[in-house]
Amino acid sequence: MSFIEYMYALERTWFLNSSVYIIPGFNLVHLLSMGMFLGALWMVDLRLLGGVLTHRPIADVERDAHPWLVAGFLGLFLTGIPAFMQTASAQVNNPVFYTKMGILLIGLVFTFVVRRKMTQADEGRVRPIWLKLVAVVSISLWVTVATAARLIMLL
Amino acid sequence: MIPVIPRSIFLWLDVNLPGTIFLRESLYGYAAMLTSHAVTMGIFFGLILMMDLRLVGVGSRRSSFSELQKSLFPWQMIFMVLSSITGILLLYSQPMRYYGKAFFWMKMGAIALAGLNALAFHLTAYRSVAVWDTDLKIPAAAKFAGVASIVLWALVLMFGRLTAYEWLTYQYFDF
Repeated sequence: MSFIEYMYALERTWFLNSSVYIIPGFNLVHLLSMGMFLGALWMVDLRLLGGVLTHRPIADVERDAHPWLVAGFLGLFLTGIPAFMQTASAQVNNPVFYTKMGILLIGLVFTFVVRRKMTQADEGRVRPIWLKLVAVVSISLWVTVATAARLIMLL
Repeated sequence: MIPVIPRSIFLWLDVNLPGTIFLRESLYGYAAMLTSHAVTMGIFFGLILMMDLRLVGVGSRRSSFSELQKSLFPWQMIFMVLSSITGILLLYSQPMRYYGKAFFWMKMGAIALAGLNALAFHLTAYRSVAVWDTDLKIPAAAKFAGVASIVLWALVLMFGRLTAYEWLTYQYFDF
């Protein structure tokens, strides 16, 4: 089976086509998970920029937000798989899909490795300008992912 | 279902708004408006959710509620304004399309209820915030407002998403 035939086969998955409400249902949970993910993300990035909870240590704000960031991402991931499968051939033929996934991978490494290390580091040891830069990069990466994601089916 | 605003007004807007045909017919207009609406709405919902999770007692336990609420408020307002502008533009570009959609009116209703819930919270349970601000013994009325806010704003997002499908569309009925 060629790659595109395999994509068509994914689209014909019995479960996904067993009701017209299944894919819209996954899309709704995907959207709400995105809200949770972006909320937890922006909380920390706004703290790094000095916009919220300025009297709280950065590490505390990050530790509070982290479970919601992970939960939001898991929701996005689990609902994203069937949403991809049902439109597989259109997705793989759309350059915006590759933009989304490429930046998504960079974003994951940046958020869960770089940003996590920076926010958990002793605040006196990191110059504030670096923390602000981390926040700007983090926001830019994930807003681009969300924008590209919405554009896939529109462009 | 009987819409709140008469059909004749939407019909008039559909024809007479300056630039509405340009927005409706432009190649990338809808994609740009819908994408910026969805992204700003998602961030708005997320920042509301982060506040409500603290109100319910499960999130941001290391911060006091009033501190979190006060510092998030301006950002919530920024994203509410951005999503409202893009939302109004979407409506402006196709008044009759949204007029005939039940989910659009349900979304407007849910926004109104979410606003009333926030107002009621500030006039009642929030008045005693000094008593429960830092500990997690949050009064039931405050927790209820938190849950109601999460549910209502989630409905706003879901009804908004469902507006894009063709379900419950009564375009050709005259009320």
